[in-house]
Amino acid sequence: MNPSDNPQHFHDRAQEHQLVISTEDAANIGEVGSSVASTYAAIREIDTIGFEPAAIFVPTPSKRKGD
Amino acid sequence: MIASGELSPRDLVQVSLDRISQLDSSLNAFLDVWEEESLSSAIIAEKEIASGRYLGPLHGIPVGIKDLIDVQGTPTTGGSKVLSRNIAGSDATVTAKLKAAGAILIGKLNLVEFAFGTTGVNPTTGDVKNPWNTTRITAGSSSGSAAAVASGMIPAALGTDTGGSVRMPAAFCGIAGLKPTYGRVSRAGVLDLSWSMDHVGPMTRTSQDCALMMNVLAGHDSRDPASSSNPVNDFTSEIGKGLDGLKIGIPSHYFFDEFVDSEVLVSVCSAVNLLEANGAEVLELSMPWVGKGRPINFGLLLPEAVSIHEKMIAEHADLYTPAVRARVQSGFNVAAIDYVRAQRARQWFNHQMAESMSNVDILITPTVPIQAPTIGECTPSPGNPGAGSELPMFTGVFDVTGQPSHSIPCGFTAAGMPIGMMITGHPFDESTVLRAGHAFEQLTSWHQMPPTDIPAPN
Repeated sequence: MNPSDNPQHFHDRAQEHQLVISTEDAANIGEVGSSVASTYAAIREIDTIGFEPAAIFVPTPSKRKGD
Repeated sequence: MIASGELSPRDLVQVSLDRISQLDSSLNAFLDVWEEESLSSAIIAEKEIASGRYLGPLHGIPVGIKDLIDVQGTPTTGGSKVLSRNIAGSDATVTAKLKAAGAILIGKLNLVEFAFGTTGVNPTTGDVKNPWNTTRITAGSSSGSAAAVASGMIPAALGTDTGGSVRMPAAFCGIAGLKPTYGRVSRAGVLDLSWSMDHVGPMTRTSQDCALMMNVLAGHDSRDPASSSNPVNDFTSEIGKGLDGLKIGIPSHYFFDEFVDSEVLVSVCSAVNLLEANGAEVLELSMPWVGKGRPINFGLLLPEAVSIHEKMIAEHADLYTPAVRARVQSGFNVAAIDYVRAQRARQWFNHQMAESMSNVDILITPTVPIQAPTIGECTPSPGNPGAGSELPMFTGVFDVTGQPSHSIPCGFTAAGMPIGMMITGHPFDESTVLRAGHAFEQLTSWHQMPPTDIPAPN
């Protein structure tokens, strides 16, 4: 599911994670949520095919200690 | 002067303590001041130096530590009630390096809660006031570090930078701040905000002092999995080489667009003209993609921050300030695919940046696109997240790429607030960045101006 600025949605997700959340929190999160939504919308516009961060999954050479 | 015995570390530390006593009740830069310990350390330093055991340029120099960084036996609170009883069991690597260099650790500095914010507003520890105008923000999250250095309480401090938290407060407070290359300075013993973009860096009055701090801080550390093995040279060795042969890139997109404050634009453009008139070559660079940098920065930061805070917020949500709690909780809504997209976008972005900078040594841009807002404008209230979302638009770009990026003062607004210029170099080329900063400081006196909204030293 894409990020949204719907306070109810944040409230539901927070409950899933057993978080304490007030109505005021939900409103605050809603405000933050709109910038979160626009952030990932901007990222989605980028054509990133072929730009996988290889450093994360390419193994680092290693040897048994003492070799 | 300390090396020759003309200035005693004890006197210098006492001057710092007196200045803190004079000003900190109004600026709120420090969370903790270690008066007895710092004076004891200063006496030891004095004896060492007198007996010929001079450890180098930081020996006997008072330094403040952002309260995100461990100092053994003292609390590391991150500016949060959540960690109010968190006593550090050992020193962070940067702390240990400063101690080994003879620096006098004088206390812990205020910050935005968990460094997760940009303004310097913190309802738990109290807002840090800007020494140039105490109604205005310092920016953050290294708010106390910037205010303490700018006001002359201490000559140097440590900050951290994930979206601009060294450079933004440096700009608003009129001091120098360096975000080194990612991996250049160890993060071991520093509370994480976003492990793939967290940096520790020096905040001082000048580029030269940043270089002296870097000579102590930089280097590989096996305690930090992201620490680089790249060789470390003397960061002061090329600082006086001047501007001849230096190629400066000026992005024709984003950093100088219409949304940037006109006084900021005038100051930075004047600074570039001055550098060009004194021997640097200036090239305009087309970078139409560069505005994607800040979304990528935040798109990576948020899920990583949530991952770090997941357990703590589940157990202590009531102890977080509402604004930071909202930031963390909003991240639970991010889809895994969006984080993966952000990671790929980072690779793409870094590739674009390297290509664009292939014919220049450094980029020059404004550090922050706006003038310092008031604390009131930046204080969140129900339904109002507060001003300041524009603050990291420029700095966050270089947390994504991990390049060294340095803010120095380059002018003042009509309202008398400092303006920062950002100098960004190739990865692991802090030396050129500092060289450019130092050259500019030799041509101008912005960095020597004393803040106007606080009393002069006694």
